Amino acid sequence: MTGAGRPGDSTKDVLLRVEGLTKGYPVRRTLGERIRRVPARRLMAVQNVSFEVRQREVMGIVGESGSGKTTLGRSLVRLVDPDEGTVLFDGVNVRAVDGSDLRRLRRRVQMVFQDPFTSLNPRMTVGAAILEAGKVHGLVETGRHDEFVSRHMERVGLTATLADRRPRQLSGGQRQRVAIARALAVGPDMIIADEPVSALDVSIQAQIINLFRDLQDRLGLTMIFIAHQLSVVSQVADTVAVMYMGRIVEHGTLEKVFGRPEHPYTQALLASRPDPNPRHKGDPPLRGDVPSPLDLPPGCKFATRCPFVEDECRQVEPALEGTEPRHLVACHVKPRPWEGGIS
Amino acid sequence: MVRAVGNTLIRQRQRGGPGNVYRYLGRRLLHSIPVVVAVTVGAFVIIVLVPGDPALNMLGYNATPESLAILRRDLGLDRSVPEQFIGFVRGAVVGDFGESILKKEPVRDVIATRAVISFSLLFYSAVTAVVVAVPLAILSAVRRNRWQDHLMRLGSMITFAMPSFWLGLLLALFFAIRLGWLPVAGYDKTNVLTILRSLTLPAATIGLFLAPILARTLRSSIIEVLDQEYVEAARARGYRESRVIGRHVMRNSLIATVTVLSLIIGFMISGSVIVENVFAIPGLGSLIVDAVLQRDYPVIQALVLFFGLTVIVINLAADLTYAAIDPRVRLVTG
Ligand SMILES: Nc1ncnc2c1ncn2[C@@H]1O[C@H](COP(=O)(O)OP(=O)(O)O)[C@@H](O)[C@H]1O
Ligand code: SF4
Ligand SMILES: [Mg+2]
Repeated sequence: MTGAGRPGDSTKDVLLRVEGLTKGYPVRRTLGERIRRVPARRLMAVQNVSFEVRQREVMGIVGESGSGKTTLGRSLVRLVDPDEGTVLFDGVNVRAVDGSDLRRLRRRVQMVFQDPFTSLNPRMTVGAAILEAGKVHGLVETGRHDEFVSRHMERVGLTATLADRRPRQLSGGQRQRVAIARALAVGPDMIIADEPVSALDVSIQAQIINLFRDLQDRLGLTMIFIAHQLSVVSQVADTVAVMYMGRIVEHGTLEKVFGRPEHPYTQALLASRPDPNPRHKGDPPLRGDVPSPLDLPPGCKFATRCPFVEDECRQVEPALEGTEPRHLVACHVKPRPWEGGIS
Repeated sequence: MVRAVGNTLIRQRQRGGPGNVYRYLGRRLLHSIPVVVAVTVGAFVIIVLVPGDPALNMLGYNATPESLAILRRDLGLDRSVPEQFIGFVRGAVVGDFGESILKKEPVRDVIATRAVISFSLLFYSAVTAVVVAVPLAILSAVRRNRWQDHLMRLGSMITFAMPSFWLGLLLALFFAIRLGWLPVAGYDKTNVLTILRSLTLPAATIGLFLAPILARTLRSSIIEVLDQEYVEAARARGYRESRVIGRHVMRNSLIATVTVLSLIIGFMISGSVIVENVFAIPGLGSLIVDAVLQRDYPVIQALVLFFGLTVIVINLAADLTYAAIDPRVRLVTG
């Protein structure tokens, strides 16, 4: 597999390496099920996910709602405790650390959440939130509090005069800027942004995406950028992973995954993108039932909807394998033609 | 009742500028007026509704006609009811409720000395309740559905089911009689320490009665806050759990503590009547029992008015406190 090369090859500039990450949530049984001694089940939100992110690289993750993006993102900093697998961040085994080591790790890997209204403490002013982040990790000199706050506010395009405001007095875009400023105030090496623009007005989305690009570039950040919209990911990502039912089904550089997608699911996603040309009216490319995440079929999870399905697909789950340098696909049938063209 | 009036005035609004606390205070005071009037009328009516002759009730059947006449004049019973009411209100405004029949002292002075003791007891009880309930509620919420949580919830159910003075008697038996650490009853006002020792068992009795109610409300409020994303976000920033709970969870759960405490203030006052009598604490609770038994009508009237106004003021203070600690509670008159 080394020859084909994962996106983010096994070189020494890899910052984050994830191997076989698996997370299931316990499912509550009904009283009847408990009496009939139906075994406790787990909803497998993330199953056997592996990838690498290089220094200063932006990895985009796309997938429908419920495909496990949030669970994956939170597992990386142990906001969710994974069941199996390895997470290595800069050589630190994330699953093995605890206490102050875990807090040190969390300082280096900051999260930006989807909804900036719920992710900001309603009782804290902008300044207090940013200052707390810096103070906890000893990054603010005494007597330079105001300077610290205004520097971090200005960096995300907020005027320092907003420092006394509380979240409810800010617009959605301003709130997300505060959340970003607060994350950057602890001096992270990596940002995990979980759908950071999904809760914002379309007109604001572009501004925040630009801010992420700009900050990533200026600060040399490594980033995981989660989104369910392909158009958002294509604006920031260097590599793209496509998730389906808790698995990565395709992962490669932006050019390869969006330009020459090989997995039927990726192809369908790209084909169903809102077409700017109203005369191109194709059939909805995906038919068939989405399987229940509690009762997944044994083979390829996409088999129920896949136009190329073969017998083997229903028996054996395809592994994520390299088809060319920095391009991995989990599909038995290759090659599949892509006629959609580059966006 | 009084509580409900306060609550209808509080509306939750999601957005909006900073509320004008002074305008709210003014409006809130205005709305208290009918309640104050009702309490005043209620206090006054006590003497009018007494069957038979209040003076005779007070002095007993072997009182001389002269002394009865003097008392009737002092109480204003020789005047018409509206005149009496105006006299009562006039006196109430300046704090003059006449003389206690029993103590031969101005009612105001009798109440004042005892009110200090009762309020110290109430405050001590509230502090005890908070000190016991807050750690339990945090433990229970953080370890939700584990054994610590189940133990706390079971324990709170058991203590809550006990009559309020039962626990006090048990405590008295143990700490005062068995261990001899604290006085069994009585109020030793020699110095602050003896006062504290005298009030400890009564305060523990009231406090431990309230703690389970407080702990349960606070538990659900903490759980609600724990599920908020900003709490997870604080953890994600690499904060210690103690900071996450102390700064981000507890401050947002505080409102529940204030709500419950203000809701049960009436409860506490009526509970203190029993507890003061059990522990022989010379507060308002034992005063009202004495006054009723001895038919000291001026004292009864003054106490009814005093208790009523106390509840109104505490509710008002609680409402203003919400507004101060929770920016989401906007001040709107409904
Ligand atoms: N705390 C949880 N408890 C139980 N199931 C969960 C929990 N969080 C997520 N899930 C389930 O796990 C699956 C993946 O969810 P999530 O990671 O949020 O996906 P995404 O972010 O892509 O929408 C979904 O089926 C969701 O219902
Ligand atoms: S493995 Fe088979 S079913 Fe799955 S995506 Fe490939 S062709 Fe379709
Ligand atoms: Mg999500």
